[in-house]
Amino acid sequence: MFKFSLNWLRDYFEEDIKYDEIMDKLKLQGFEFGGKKEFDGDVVTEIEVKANRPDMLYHMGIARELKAFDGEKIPEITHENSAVNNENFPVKINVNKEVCKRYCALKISGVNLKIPTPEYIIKRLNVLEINSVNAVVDIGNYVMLDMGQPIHSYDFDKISGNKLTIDKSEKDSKITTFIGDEAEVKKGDIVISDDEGIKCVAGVIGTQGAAVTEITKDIILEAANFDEISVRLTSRRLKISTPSSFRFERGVNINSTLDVLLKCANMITKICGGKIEANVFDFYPEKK
Amino acid sequence: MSADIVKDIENKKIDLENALKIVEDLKEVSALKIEYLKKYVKFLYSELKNVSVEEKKTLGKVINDFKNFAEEKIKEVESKYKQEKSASKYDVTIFKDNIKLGSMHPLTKLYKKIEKVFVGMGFSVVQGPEIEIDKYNFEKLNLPPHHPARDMQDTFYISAPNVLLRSHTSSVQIRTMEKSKPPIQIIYHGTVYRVDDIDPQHTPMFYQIEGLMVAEKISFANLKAVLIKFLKEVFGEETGVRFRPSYYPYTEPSAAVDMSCTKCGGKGCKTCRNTGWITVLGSGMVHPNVLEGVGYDSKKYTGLAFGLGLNRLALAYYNLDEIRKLYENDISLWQQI
Repeated sequence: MFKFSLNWLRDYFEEDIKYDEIMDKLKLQGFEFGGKKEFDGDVVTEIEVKANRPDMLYHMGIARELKAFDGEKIPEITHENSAVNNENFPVKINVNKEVCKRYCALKISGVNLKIPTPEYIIKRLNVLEINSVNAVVDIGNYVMLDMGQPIHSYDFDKISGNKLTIDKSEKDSKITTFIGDEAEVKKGDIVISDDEGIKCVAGVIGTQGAAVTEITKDIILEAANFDEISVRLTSRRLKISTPSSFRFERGVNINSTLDVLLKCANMITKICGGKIEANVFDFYPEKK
Repeated sequence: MSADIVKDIENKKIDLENALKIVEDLKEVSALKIEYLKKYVKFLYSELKNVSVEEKKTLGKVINDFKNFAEEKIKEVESKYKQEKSASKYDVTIFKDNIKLGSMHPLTKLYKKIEKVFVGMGFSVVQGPEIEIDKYNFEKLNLPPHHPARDMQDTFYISAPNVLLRSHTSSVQIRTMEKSKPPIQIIYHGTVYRVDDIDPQHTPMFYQIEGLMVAEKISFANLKAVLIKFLKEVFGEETGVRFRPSYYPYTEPSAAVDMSCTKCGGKGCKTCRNTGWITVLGSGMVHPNVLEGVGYDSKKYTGLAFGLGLNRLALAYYNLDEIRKLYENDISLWQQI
């Protein structure tokens, strides 16, 4: 199930699109639909997405489907380029390639999180029933709904030992999720940890330990491609299902990870200020 | 002394004969039986003690004769009444006009009709168990553990994670293919189970019919032909049929099959949610992984498979609005359809 907004889809079309026309095209492609709701000037429709079409879990994917119907293509993701340099990345990152197929990260220095999220982003998140947290988290969610890549952010100053490890948890431990719930991580769940402990249950939910808050200055922005089965098992066991885990379980486009990360970083610097540090991290051992 | 007794016996014989002439039913006959055969004969035997040894011989014979005589006479009358009684109790010629005759359940009736259509096209009918193991219900159907498509079928487990109530009849196709070589052309049906609350459109147990055809050069055209023929035979020549892209892990490509709404004929009504179409079948070309999994050469053989929910189809066929009605067994409803 994915809810999409008609106004959001319009971003991808130069000419105006009519609701009935796009629905006809999608129905002819075999898609089925749940409810439909109208919000001031926007129409939100629930589309039933079967397990083989994770590309229909975000607006760009739906636009791509519609354009393909007419033999057209969607524009490529545009962003400012940054050079990849894993050795000189400000945080030392170790990735177990069994649980994570691609891991991209970058550092943004000097963001101002006192700046509120722009109105248009809040409005779009609200019609799709996603609450606003702060500008960085909201932009991350916006990017996920737009381009399908879950984004996670860490407060750079809260990462202890300047080190992040993406691997299976070696022992059971208690965590507090960023929304304040207690959860118990078991040995074998995939986690992202620093010297101090677990900072994020990979692909599922972040912890309070490294959460970005109002006083955060520097952030580490992460876009990854975690192993589907590992995310699914972890999410099942914790009984936590998030929009991010839902997408990872079904599969996320592994070739757009870096592009979406850079695009997201551009949006953050544009809205909250700050500067993308020169070296970008990209772990991608088995290119597809 | 013994002479008196002999005379008394002679009198009793006459009494008995007279009494038997006027008895009216079995009850009275058994009263005579007690009187003459039990009480009187007992009395006679007791008298036997009071006579001399010689007299005992002759008197004993007389008493025995009387006993035989009485038994025979009473039996004669008794059997006459018994015969009469049985004849009056069961009158096999009587006519009763309000007998309710049972008949086939509408689901069975529809199934038989469908079966006939497929058998006519050369399909044979096979069966499989309702309690399945994960291998046949999921794994060999290209649904490895932790596949998200498993969410589509919320399964009842008898002992997790391996023993379960089959969530679809597709397990039968694997069992059959494992046992035989292509060409295969089978249908199989039965009850399947999924965790679901009972509501107008869902029940945790329902019926499925599935079909499979594997041979060389089977194509999507064959799939279309088989299913269009089937729907037109069951629902009438004027039935419209369309194929929409869909997804099942065990077929590629997969298609959902819609037929024109039986209620409004395609104009749009409540039953078809104003679309004019009702989805009745899931189908597709058997996934190469499934064929390879049972040891078939997927380069040489191709297959088509389809499945339908008999309950859903029955709603359309009998123009009912709730799946529950199929289980309530309301006789007045059955008489209408």
